[in-house]
Amino acid sequence: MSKKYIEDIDFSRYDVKNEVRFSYKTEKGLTREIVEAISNQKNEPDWMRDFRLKSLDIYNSKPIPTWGVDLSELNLDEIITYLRSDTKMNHTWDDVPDDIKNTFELLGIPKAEREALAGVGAQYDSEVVYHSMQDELAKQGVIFTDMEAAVRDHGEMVKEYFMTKCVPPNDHKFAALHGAVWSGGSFVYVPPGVKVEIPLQAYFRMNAPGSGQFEHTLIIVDKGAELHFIEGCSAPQYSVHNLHAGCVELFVKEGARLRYSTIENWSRNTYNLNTKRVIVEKDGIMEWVSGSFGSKVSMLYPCTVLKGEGAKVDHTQITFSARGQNLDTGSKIIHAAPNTTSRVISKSISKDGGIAFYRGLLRVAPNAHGCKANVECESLMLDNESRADTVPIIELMNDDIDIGHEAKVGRISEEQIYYLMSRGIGEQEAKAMIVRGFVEPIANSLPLEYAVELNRLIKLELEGAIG
Amino acid sequence: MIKVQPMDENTCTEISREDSSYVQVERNKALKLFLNESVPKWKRVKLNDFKVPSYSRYEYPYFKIGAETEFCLEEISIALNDNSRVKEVVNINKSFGVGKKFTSMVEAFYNAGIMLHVPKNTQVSNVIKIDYRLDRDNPLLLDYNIILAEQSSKVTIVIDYNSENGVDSLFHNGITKIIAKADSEVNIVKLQRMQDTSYHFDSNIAIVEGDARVNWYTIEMGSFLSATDFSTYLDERGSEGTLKSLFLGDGERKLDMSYQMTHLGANSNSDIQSHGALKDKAYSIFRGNLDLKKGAKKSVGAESQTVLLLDKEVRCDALPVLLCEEDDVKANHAASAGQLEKSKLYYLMSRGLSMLEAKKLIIEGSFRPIIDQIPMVDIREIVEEEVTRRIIHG
Repeated sequence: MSKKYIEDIDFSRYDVKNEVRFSYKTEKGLTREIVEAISNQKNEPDWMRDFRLKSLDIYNSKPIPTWGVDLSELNLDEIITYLRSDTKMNHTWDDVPDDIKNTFELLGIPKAEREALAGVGAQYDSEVVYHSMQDELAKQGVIFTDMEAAVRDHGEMVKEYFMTKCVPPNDHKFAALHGAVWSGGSFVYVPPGVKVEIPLQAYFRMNAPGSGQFEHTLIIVDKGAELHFIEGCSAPQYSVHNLHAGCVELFVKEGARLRYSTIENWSRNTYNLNTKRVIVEKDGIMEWVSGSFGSKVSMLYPCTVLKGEGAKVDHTQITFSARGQNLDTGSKIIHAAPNTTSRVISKSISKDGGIAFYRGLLRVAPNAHGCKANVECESLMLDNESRADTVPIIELMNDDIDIGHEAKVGRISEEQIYYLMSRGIGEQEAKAMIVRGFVEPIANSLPLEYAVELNRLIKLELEGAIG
Repeated sequence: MIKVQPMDENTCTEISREDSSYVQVERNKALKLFLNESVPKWKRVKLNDFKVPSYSRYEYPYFKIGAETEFCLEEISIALNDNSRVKEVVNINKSFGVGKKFTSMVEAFYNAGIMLHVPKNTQVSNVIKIDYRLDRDNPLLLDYNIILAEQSSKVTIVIDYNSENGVDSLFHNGITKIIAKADSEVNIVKLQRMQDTSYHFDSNIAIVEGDARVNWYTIEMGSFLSATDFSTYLDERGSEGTLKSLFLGDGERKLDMSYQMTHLGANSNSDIQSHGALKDKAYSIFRGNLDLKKGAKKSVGAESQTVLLLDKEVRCDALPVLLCEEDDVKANHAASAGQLEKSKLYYLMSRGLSMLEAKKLIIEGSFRPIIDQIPMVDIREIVEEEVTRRIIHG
């Protein structure tokens, strides 16, 4: 097999650029007028409009974070915060304009919907353009809709949960930004005891250059219910910076279970500053499965608050950082109740000068007796230009706990390669096998289609290094 | 009567009156830095109501000048005024320490300290012991210690920070700088057992040359607030640094321990091992930094912390940082925290031991791997006695 470089590999599936057509877009930057215009365009109730304006004030009062990644090139005054394409929300793919539909076809969304999903929301720039859910689920009382429709049709519930208990706008600058200009996203409610057996999916696609995407995801899994939600995202490559500052708020009620899977594959000009958080009640179970591949810069630390006794979280993540990328990812876990359990497995691969950073926080509150927590981080560096850093912070405030943390960094072990080669396997294949083995625990957590996608992405990313 | 005066320009000029111009310039540089820096807040161990103490002289006889001729041990002020050999150590220009306010305070106002110079090919057989005792007459210690181990030399030094019981407002802030030249070995034990209302700040740096080793032992058993920093630079091929730390937090003690190993040389090795126990309302912070710079090929770094949590209201933070920009290395870190194993306690108590005795035995067992490596029998005994006193009678 001839050696291929990453530049030669066909990323065209992700890099389709459509003509930017829109029925409405805001000016660059962020002013009170722009926020009011977004609210007017959406014909929102007063409470949401007031909430946006309050968030704008908070945004203006907060500094840009100076820790972690370099955000100095991100010029928020150049970002278009709201851009609605010239199509309405559709419930069949036939009604979606051809170019947009073709983009999603190339990304495999309608096919996946037919074969493996119970419902899909597809967002294009600032608004959801397609939404569907199996009738069966609707009959059981499951709500899966775009966020705008939820504000209109389920106003009371949205008002109660929207950036109030989970991610308040005063959390940090980008949460406040999100509160001011959010647009699109999904709302899911699973009634008590309903087990949604096939996953629901939301796919976010950014098309317009220099724009921001600020989708809001709000999921409530009520007592004893179960759901698997999948989020996918991508954008074509532009020379100007795009900003993604979404917000994901999840609620796992007593005895409920939620799995939230993401493969992020933003283009290399995107700043991905997403906020994701879950509150888990008594005996609830949360599972995060995250893959971070794309973007220029990511700051992404899904946070779990184990609020009820016996709540559990399992966090599996992989980060793959290549040339020009600084992926600062990790996990935040707060044990706020007795007998709660957490487990984090984080793997990172860096190559061609990419920076893979694990930043974690594990906090055990004074009342959280009988907690168990385990964090494992492993970093693989494929060459000598890359970086792999680990900063896990552990804060323990009582004695009745059992905490373990381990981290390792290194290159592909020469002994392993030697062993495989002595069994008749070629060097390149031996290396590829070791990397596949390294990511296997993550791949195993994903639904089949996504495991295939993960392996395909890894193959694409690795061919430059491994040939 | 102790003559007490503020740490200001006048005091600095006064204490520097008989110094050489070199020392005066150095003190003045540090003074400017000290006056410009405000007292840090510190996010974890809060320093909110901390006040800079008044200056006073330190006159306790902290070391004996023996008849040894194999090495040179002098009081720091004498050494700095007429010994140009140690300028190299004084001028180490790498970051270290618990904070600029504290390191510059020592460099401007030091009132004690030693210079130890071990000549080439000299293996010092006796352990050198420095006894820094704080008492009613000597409530302030600002010690500036310099160690230069020349090529292929070897030395072991113990610095013991202790205090007279029943005296309040004791304050220690010190700096220790080491250069270990090629193929040399420096073993240094820092024992801190000052009484429970004292402040203890200690900044340490070592530059380790090719095939040389610096082995730190730090034992923290006293003070109300203790902030320590040990920064080791493994600059050349085959440099080696180890740090063994033992700590016992009882009462309302706050301990902030920062251990940094920076690998610059190829085939350099580092190992940080910290064992501790916390009881009552004690709070410990472990900051382990393994920094593998480009070029540190084939290096191996490791850090681990194990903490026993003995009471409900303890607090324990760990920040084991691993920074890596060289792929051909092996590095790992591990941290664990938890209670004494109940099955072990049950076993020992079923053999007739009291709860406290059983606890003490398990804690000693967990400290044992480090205690056994301390290169001096009487220091080992002091540690064992302190563990007994603080766990059983404390």
